Amino acid sequence: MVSVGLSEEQRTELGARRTQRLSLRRRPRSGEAIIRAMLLGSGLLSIFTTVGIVVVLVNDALAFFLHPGVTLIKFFTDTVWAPEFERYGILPLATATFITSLIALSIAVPIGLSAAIFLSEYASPRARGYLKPILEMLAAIPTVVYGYFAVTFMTPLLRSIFGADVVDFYNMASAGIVMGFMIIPLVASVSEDALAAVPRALREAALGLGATQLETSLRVVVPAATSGIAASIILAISRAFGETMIVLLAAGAGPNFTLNPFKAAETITGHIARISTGDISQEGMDFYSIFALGLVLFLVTLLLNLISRWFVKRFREVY
Amino acid sequence: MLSSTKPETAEPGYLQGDSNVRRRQTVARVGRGVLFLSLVLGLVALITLFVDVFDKLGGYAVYSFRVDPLTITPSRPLEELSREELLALIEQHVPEEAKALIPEDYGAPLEELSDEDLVNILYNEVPSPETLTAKPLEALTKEELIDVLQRNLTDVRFQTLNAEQPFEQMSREALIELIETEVLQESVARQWTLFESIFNRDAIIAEIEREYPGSDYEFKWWLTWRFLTSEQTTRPETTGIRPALLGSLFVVTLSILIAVPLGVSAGIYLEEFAGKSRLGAIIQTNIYNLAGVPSIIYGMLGLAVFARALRDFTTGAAFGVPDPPPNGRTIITAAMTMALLILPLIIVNTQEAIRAVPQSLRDAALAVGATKWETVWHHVLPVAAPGILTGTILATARALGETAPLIVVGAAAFVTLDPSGIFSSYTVVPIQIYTWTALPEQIFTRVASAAVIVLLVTVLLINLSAIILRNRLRKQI
Repeated sequence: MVSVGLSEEQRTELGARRTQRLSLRRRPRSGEAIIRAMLLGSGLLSIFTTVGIVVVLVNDALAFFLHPGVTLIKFFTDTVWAPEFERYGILPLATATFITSLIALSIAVPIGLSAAIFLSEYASPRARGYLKPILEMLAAIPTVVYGYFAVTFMTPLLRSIFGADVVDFYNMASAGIVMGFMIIPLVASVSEDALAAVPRALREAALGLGATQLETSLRVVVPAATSGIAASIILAISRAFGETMIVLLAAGAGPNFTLNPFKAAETITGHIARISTGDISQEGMDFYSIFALGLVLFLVTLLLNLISRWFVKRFREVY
Repeated sequence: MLSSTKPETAEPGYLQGDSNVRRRQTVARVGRGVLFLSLVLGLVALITLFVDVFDKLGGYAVYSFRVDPLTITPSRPLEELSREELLALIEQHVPEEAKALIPEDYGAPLEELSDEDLVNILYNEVPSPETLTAKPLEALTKEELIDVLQRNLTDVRFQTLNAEQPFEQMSREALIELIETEVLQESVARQWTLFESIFNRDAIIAEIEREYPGSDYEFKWWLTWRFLTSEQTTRPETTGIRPALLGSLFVVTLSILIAVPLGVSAGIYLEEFAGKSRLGAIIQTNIYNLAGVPSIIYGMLGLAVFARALRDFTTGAAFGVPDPPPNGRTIITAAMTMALLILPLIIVNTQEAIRAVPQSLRDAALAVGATKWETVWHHVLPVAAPGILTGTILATARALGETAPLIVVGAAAFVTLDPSGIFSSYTVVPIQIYTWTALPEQIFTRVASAAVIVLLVTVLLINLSAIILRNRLRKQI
């Protein structure tokens, strides 16, 4: 064997390195594993958040429901919320939430949906290019600003139209109307996405058969986008139930069991916010009761969001 | 878009038999108008909002003094006045009806009464007789003005003001102005709105001169440099927003610093590592649900966990910070709550940005032997970075405007001190707007309008930059 200037050891080392280079075995990479674990940890944080919300709400709500004199049935049927008399009935707060949301939706859904149809079916791409970002900007206006608007503009306006003896200074109508304004961009933008996802072929088929643009929009495109539109409306309901600042500022600071929209009545969110504004002690029935309300609110909005996502998934699957 | 059916002037023969067409076309035109009107209506509603805020921002204001200026200026006691001076005062200040009754009440006509009786008449018939001989502020010398300040302010306040700017060096006008704000507590008695002031200027000035004779009035703006830079006080004329601005800056910065690393990591995990795993799907569904949870619920989570359970840590008591704020109401509590709230937003935006990165980039990196993480770190993230930045900017705007969760975790409404660290108590701009709007005194809504403008302009500018950035990205890809 002819040695070409390499010692025995050098040759063995070279041989070893060559075998190593050729090895296709999977090598453990501890660095990668650690990074992967950290990324997973961040992902899991969102699960912890949900679990945290549920645990926190259930924990303090339990303290509330275990209090003598409080029962689930009374909680859902009593029409008086007066902690000083140990009366905890969610109905006055729930009706106020319901009425303000109803007013808001009856404004936001027709206007938002019509605006979406116009944007998607009639507006030129150029106009849409300007109007969509404007909608997004409007959706970004902080809700406390809408609350300010309700107090300084909508309430005086309602009082001057219907008379100050009919309309209370704090009233559900003002809060509901302004909340409707706030939700318009949400309904418009989600519905527009749904309408834009309807295939062009459907429109061309309808127009080809001699339908007018309006007939095409209302009888072909809108039905085809039903699930997306439904999703936008359910999202709007959930948003209206959870909205706090507008109702806190404009709807009134005291539970009131009434169906008259011109009267002051506090909503669930408004009550939670007002009770926790002051120097609340972190135990006691006042404190526990807002967690029971929070739990109800959380469950209702969660249910609505799940339904809305189900609708969205359905319309994605169709096209 | 596809052109709408235009009415033809001369209808083709095959349409004439169909009486339906004309009606349908009319309906189509009306329908189009209604749809367009809705869009306009929505925009009008929101324009009204802006107009309303501007309307409250300024306007003619008429001032009144909480303290009558004549009660603080030097005056001579009535007893020292001469008979002529007393008679002149009675002539000038005692109402005619009272004058007519003098002979009856005091037993003799005015001219025959003693000096003592004249003084008594003044005391009995004039509302504040001791101010009758007082000189108006404008007639005082500089020394007298400084004397007025010294007599009517606390020693501490007098020394502080003197240290800020020595009184001896101030002009008489500046001294009078100082007395008006410090001693007389000049306040806005009534203010008209901006549009009234512009379109009805003459009528307003006439009304001011009729209803508030002799009062100061001016066109007053609420959004001033002084408003932005001074601390809060209880008076609308002097209050400011500096602690709230700094509080917002602290809370938002800190929450972004907490949420962005976590959110981006979670987004990377879901897009690049989770694949189609069950765990990934669960996390994904969960994030969508979290995005729909009302913000006040996050506040309750923060209240129970950060403000209550972890109180010793969030107030700094565990680290030996003296004088912790009560109930864990600190900046770090607020920032952690806010971070949880914006986390879903950042995760979803990160995912979208990563999804937009072409698969070929990953394949190329993996093909030359890069590990998974090297591919993500060196090739995917740099391309996705602008998209992630857009999401972060949107999250910043959201955090800046959120109010409800901070009310629940206990932003204090009245904070005069600037935040000094993560364990100090705080207030933020939206909380200030809420507090000022909720106060019963109408004039505070004018103060709130200035804060609303500050918040709106900041939030909308931040959003605008995000939208511009995103549109530019779309063109690139």
